[in-house]
Amino acid sequence: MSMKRMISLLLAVFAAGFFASAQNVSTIEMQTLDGGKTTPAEWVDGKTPYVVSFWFVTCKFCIEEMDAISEVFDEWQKEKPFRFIAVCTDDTRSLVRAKALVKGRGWDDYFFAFDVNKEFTRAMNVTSCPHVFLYDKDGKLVYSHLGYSPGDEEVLFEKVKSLK
Amino acid sequence: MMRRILAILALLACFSCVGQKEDPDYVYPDDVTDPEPGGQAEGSRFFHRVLALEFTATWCQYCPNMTEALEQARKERPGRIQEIAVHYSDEMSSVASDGVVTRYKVSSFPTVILDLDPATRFNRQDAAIFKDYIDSTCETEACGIALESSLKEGVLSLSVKVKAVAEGEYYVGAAVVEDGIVADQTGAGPGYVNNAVLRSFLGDGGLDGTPAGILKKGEESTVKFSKAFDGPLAKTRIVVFAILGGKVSNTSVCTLNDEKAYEYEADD
Repeated sequence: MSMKRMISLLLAVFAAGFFASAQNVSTIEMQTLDGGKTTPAEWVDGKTPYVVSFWFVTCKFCIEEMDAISEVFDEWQKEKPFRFIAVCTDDTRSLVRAKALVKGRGWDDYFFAFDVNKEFTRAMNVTSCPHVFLYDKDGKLVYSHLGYSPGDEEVLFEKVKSLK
Repeated sequence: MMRRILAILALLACFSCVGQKEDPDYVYPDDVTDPEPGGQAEGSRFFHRVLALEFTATWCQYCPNMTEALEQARKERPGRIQEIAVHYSDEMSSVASDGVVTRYKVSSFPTVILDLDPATRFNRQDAAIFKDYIDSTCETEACGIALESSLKEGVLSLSVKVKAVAEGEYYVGAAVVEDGIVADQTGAGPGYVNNAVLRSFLGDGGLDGTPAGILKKGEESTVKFSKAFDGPLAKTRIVVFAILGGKVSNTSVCTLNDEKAYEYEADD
């Protein structure tokens, strides 16, 4: 085998690996609130940007952030529509508690995905919460932020508004 | 090992002297005892130890992973890193720990800040990060720290000697930490043992420390602290850090009724 062919083959293998990995992330299955399935690929609708927020049931800052956004979510929708996808990183042992919390807090405007195997969480390199990622309408990552302090939600919404 | 046993015996003897109620069976876990550094009585450079503020909580799912990463770094770089566990909004949080969380505006757990430098802030639970930091900083020269602590009639006294590594304004901070606190931990389950939990600071300066003066290289200064103390004696240590130019120059640690001379790097 010539050197050229070997390099081409190696590049093809790397490219295949890269695309396979990218495809794997978008096809990772998670549970929905009603017991169905969802994948990140389904979140891209070509119309509105979306926020993916990683949280867990005992995370105080996560709950603060989700409460803060929930309060102004309807108002913000009139200004700039976007979706909020809350990815719960709790395992199956805390799933019932997490679902009860979701209902109890009245977070009716959010879409919930339960990553009970932490497959998506690992793929996104999330190791601390809350961690938000903002994607444009075509699924391109445009902003991410770790942690929550009051006022961070305003910064996030400014980023949302800056998107076409 | 023999020195460790002798130190524990000496400590137990001290408890009986001061008449405090203590658990006689308590033995420091291996991972919180301070491994012997270079073991040199004298040397050209002081032993350099990194200070790690570990922001943690019992409700934090990922925090046990961070503790494990720090432990791994400590095992692979013996004596090179001393943590202070800063708890937030759980049964181990305190006025002191709340103040530290507010000061560094920590809003994501776990977080680790090294040598009080906000630029060295990490969320990833990876021992390699800490080992790399240790390897890079321990090449730089650090000031010397010598300690003497005593507990008499409920008053904890600490004398800290600092020997300057370079000319500058030095500050000394001292944190009282407690080991062996068992609590239920999200992400790890019941019976999780918490070590180096921040309880309070000695001196009014807190993390900013108490002024030790403007020192020339090789010059020595002594800072004294005293505070009412009601235990628990056996599980308590004092983490001492010397600050130069807003960052930790060096860190040392002692138990109560303890003496610690200047520590030097082993000769190459």
